[in-house]
Amino acid sequence: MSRSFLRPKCRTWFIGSVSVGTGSVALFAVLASSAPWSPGRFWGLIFGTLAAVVFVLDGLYPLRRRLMGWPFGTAQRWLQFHIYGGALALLFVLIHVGFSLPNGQFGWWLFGLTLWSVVSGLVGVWLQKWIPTVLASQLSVEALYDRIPEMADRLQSEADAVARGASDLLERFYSGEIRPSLAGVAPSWSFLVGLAGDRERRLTPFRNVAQFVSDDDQDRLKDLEAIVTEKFELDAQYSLQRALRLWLPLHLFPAIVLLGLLAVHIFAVLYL
Amino acid sequence: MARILPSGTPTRSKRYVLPAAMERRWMLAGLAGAVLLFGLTGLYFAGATGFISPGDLAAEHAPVDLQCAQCHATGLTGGGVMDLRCERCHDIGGSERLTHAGHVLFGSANALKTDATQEVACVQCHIDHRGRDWAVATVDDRECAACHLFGTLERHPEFAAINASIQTGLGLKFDHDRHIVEARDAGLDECAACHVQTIDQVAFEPIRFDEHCAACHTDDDGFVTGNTDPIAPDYVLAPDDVPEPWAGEIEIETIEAARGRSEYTRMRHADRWTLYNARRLRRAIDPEGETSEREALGGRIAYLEQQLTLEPLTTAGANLEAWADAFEREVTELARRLEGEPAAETDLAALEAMMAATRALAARVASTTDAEADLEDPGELTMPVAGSLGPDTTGNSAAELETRRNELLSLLEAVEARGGESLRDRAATLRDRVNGLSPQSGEPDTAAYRDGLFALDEIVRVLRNVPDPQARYEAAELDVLRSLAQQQVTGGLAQDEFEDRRRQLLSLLSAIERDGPGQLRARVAPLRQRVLALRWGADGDAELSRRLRRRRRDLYRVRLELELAATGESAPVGSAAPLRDRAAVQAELGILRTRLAAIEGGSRPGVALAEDRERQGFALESLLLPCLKCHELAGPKLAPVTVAEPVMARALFDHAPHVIQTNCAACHASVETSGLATDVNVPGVESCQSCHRQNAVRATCETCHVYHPPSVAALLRAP
Amino acid sequence: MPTTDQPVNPGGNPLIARLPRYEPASIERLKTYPFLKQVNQRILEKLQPNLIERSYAPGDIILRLGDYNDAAYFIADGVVEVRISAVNAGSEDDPAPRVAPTPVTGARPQGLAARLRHIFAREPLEGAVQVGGRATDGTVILGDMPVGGRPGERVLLEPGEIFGELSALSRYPVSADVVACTQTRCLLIRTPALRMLLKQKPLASFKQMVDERYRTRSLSTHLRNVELFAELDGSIIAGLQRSAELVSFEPGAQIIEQDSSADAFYLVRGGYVKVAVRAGPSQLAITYLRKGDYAGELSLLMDEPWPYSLFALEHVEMVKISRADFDQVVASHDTVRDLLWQSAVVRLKERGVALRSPVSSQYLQMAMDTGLIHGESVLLIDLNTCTRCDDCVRACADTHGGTPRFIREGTRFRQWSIPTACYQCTDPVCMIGCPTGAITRPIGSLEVTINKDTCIGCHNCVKRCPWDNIIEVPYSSPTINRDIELATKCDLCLGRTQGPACVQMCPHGSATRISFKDLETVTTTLSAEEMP
Repeated sequence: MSRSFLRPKCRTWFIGSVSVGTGSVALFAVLASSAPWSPGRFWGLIFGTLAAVVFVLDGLYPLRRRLMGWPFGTAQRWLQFHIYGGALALLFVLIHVGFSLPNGQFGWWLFGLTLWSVVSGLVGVWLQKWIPTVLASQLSVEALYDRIPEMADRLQSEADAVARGASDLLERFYSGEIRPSLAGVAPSWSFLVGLAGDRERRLTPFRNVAQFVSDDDQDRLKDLEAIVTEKFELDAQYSLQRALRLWLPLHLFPAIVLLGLLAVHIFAVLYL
Repeated sequence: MARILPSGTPTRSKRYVLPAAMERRWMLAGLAGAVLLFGLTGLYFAGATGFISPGDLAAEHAPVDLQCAQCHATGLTGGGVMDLRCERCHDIGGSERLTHAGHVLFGSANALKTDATQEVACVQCHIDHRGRDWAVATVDDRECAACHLFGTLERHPEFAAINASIQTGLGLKFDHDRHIVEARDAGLDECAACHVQTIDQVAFEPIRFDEHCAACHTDDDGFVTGNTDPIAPDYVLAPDDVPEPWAGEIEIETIEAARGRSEYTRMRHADRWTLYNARRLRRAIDPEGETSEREALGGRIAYLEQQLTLEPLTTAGANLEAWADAFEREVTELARRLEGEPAAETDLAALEAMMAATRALAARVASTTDAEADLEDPGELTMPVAGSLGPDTTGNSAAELETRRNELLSLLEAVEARGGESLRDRAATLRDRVNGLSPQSGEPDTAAYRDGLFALDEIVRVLRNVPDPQARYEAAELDVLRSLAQQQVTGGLAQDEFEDRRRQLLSLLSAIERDGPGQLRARVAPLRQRVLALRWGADGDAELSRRLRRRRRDLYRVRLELELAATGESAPVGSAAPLRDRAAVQAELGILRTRLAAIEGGSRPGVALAEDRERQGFALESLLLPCLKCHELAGPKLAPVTVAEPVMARALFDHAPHVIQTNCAACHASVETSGLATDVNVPGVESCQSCHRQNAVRATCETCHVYHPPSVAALLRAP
Repeated sequence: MPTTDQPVNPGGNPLIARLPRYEPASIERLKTYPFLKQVNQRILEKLQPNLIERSYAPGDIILRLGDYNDAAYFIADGVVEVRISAVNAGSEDDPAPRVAPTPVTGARPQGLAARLRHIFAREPLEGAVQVGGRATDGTVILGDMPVGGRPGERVLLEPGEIFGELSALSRYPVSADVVACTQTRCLLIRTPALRMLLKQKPLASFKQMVDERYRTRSLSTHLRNVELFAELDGSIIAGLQRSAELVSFEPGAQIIEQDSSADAFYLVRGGYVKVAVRAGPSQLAITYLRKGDYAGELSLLMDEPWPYSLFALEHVEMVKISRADFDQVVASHDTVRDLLWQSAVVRLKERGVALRSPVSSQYLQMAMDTGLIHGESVLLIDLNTCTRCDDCVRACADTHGGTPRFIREGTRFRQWSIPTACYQCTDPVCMIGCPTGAITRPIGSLEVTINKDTCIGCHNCVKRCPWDNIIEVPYSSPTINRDIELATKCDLCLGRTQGPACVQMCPHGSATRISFKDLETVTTTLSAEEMP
């Protein structure tokens, strides 16, 4: 699979964000060389305020359906704003502190959470671009996440039906090697690394046993093989979709904590 | 039929599959965020403030770390780090040494320019909360560049003295070229014979006559060579007639000369007889000058002593509440006066009436003393009569009014302090009524004129010291014009009139002081200081607002102490003045006291008549003839001998790293041909730039300069 | 109106039987009708339950604009008036021919309060305005009336006319009011009988009659609807009208074969026709034709073999004009040839594009094989960018009061998933047999919607949809005071100003709705999105 899935989908957003980012860094370079840079002085404040505003707007992303897409029109544009805005906000935060490390506990919390939120967001972007291509290109089965467990169960009963009345060898083979693997969904992180190896691994027993199975059972064997392949694909679907679902709280909860700390930070700056 | 792998969904559900609702998750997350927000804020207000600190304070500030109120004023509209809180520890005496105004005064010695400058907060340059190892006192060069536009050492302008080719203030005549030859011939090290390095090699030991000059400039018995000119006996006291304790061992020899005059010989350096007579002559010629000098010295000494002995407000044991009330009242008064109504004709009449009453009071006070009548007679105080306060230009009458009022107030305070019960009451009432008057507001806008005068200041100062008589003449003319302009701008009295008034006031104060017990002297001293601080040409409103500002600052300080005491966060302040400042102040005090002692004491002959003054002047010159071989005469006295105003007047030059690398001739080669003490024998800024530049030797502003005046004494030294 | 208390149709739908006013005609009565005279008894008996006589007094409304109609009306006696209303008119500024219905546009909420309510109410707006279609010269094409006319016109129909048969066959709502002018007697030929009559050979006379009517009344209008003939002189049209042949084909029949000599022009009256070229051993579908489309204009100009084959996808009715007849008729008009040439060039280009992009033709083939070609708006999800986040389903549920209208499950073709969202077929079979008319398609619009207040949960539509796109949900109906299994389906977010919520709310832009009939969109949207 070529790398083209990383190509930005909306070119105008990409070009616009890169220009804004480059311009900001250039502005910072010019300003910081002529006067000592402080987050509390005029330009540092401007960038800090910009970053805060963008973070808050990013936090409104979950409201896109309630607002019927306003003001961007579609949820896709909302997401573009969310992603590019978040990346730019990180840049603004770095400019705000003058590209230096924080000093106090509070500063480290803010900095760390900002980094985590934005980086986890970008990791999410990559995941959301990459995993669908794996699902689409390497799997043939499509299934809803919530229904996969029941589909797996159904597969098991189907396999039971196929194996009923088979020869001893096949039955033993089935109950010994195949049935355990059909018992319920079996998610695994290994699916994220590659599917081909796992698929081969699951189907190898069939090749091995094929020569020993009688001719009339060959059909059954083939059916079982198909069932096992389908189970494998369901497992892969489940795992990959699960990865996408697990990512969300990892990105979301630190971001909310960040917003809370941001409010405290603004309060402290104004009050003290 | 073989089973195939489905493409798409294997089996369709019959019902809609609803995706898991996200609402609850959002609510929980939002709840967590809100808990965090309100929890942390609540914790802050409950006292657990540590987490909110953006970083540790520098090591010097570590004792007040996590006590936010020590430095931060809180409040959504009025928060921030106020200078007041820094000054609480760093400027206990309220000298305003560490303000930007102090820097401007230190550098330019121009009061008007200082008044017009904008304030720069301490935190603008001194950032903290950057960790224990952060150097708070270090300031980035670019902050300096905000005003000093040249920005780096590379573009530093040439030193003023080099440009003017003259050094001033030495007070001696000295020709290096001859002395170097003499030293060489005597087999001595030509530089080190006189210029001895201090232990730390930073500077050089002061040159003293006895150590460095006496070897050649005295004869075998230790007497300075040369005789005086013939002097008439009326003008000097013979050696035997000199009273104790100056008599002592006088080895003066009198030589009879023509027409009844005498020559005197066998004088030592700083001979007591000579000095006694010089002092006596001076008093005859210029009593006011001596008095003013004495007063000025006394004032400065008093101020410095006060700075040394001040205690921080926390340990003063004073009743802070009462102080706050007193200050508050004064501030309201001053503010009211500053924005008051214009003086009406009736006010002027009232002023006159009050002046008459005060005159009477002063007379009563004076009559209880037994001082010499002619000087202290208050009748001699030439208070103006009503008519002279005519309707002049707006600026003039306002300023005049102001100066009158100031004088009056000073007098009344003195009276209050000195007089008895009834006197005190009357003085208090009068004072209130005087306070009731207010100067005319609506003075012409003088800012533009001021700026022009600043520029003139510098030019005149430089020109005045140029050896060329033509230039000096032009400088004098310029000065006159400048004074006229300043007078026009600020209105008020001409300078000599002003000085007259001031002198009279000071005389009165001296009279009151001489009579009174110690507590009176304490009251008079600050008063005298205020009189001395009166600058001619400063418009009244500025003076008033300056005072108002100072009083307000004092009030805020007391209020701050009260506030901090209430929160329980009042950290104990360090000692009254940092050691460095204290030492400098002590040193300055020493110098001033020496000078004061040099003009104190001795008899006070009567004031010479005008025609006699000239002859007295000649007598003085004749007396000091041997001294004038090296010393210079400044008016009716010898000029004080000081270290020459350094070429880099506002920089600190550390000789140590330089003498290690090279010898004296590398920089001071021109002394070989230098015949005057006023010659500048120091290289220009280019020689500094040859090593002090980027990527070579340190070339930041603070390598040579300090921003803040290093001590209160340094501030005072501004002329 | 004739009434009866007894059920008169014991074998038929019990619901219908209970309704009064429907009384099948007797065999004797039937034999009086000219087109049924020759039909034998057995067939008549089969037809009888669906042949009903009705009388109307003057002024009675026989058919109402927008009604659903399941019968063809044969006027036995009397005169009726067809009133073409302004609703069908569309707009004056847009006279372009529209054979396919145009999408519904929703009313915009006015004012901030209305907008806020629209946002938070999560319900579609009321009062959608529908827009219809008209022909180049301003006449409104009434597919189901044997007439055409201008808005506001009233056209009279006399005894012997048949009207309403296409609205019965195609489940479109009636396109004009039909009112009885005098005392009228009609024979209602309900859809089952209508189909039989049109298809079966022994009943050819009926078809002939219908064809004749069509020829005399509608053919000229339809010919005028063809761009090619739009500007032609009335005499030419009349000539064409006379010499045209009305032909029909069974599903799957080959109409013409590639490389055979092309000597006729075909205009489609109804049904779908596949246009294919030979590509090796198989047929590569280029495009398709439907009602109003035509093929073979080149063959009218030159003597070339057919460059493609035509296959009937379903029951197809066509108008065939042979070259000889055409030549005769246009002998004196040169402009006609120029017009024909222009159209031909366009067609050739289209064919070239399709040949260059075999993928597009694969899509078309798939659409025709699976039946997606019937859909006017098919939801496709690009599996290469879909993160399976279910935002589309959530948005659908938000717009429909908490219940989504599709399941994100379905077949897969290449990288596209085709979920079970109603395809909005041009010919919605789901609408057959709805007893209450709950399932409707507004005039001239795409969306087939189910009204939840009138649905009684009989599930006729659920069973009829070939792709199971209609799904039942439990619902407590206030209308009939019962808990029913309401039938629901995607309604293209009728009334939603921003259009379908699923497309708008996909964060990655993976959801699109296209019509496979639109070759250009298929090429640019689908083929272009394929990953290398």
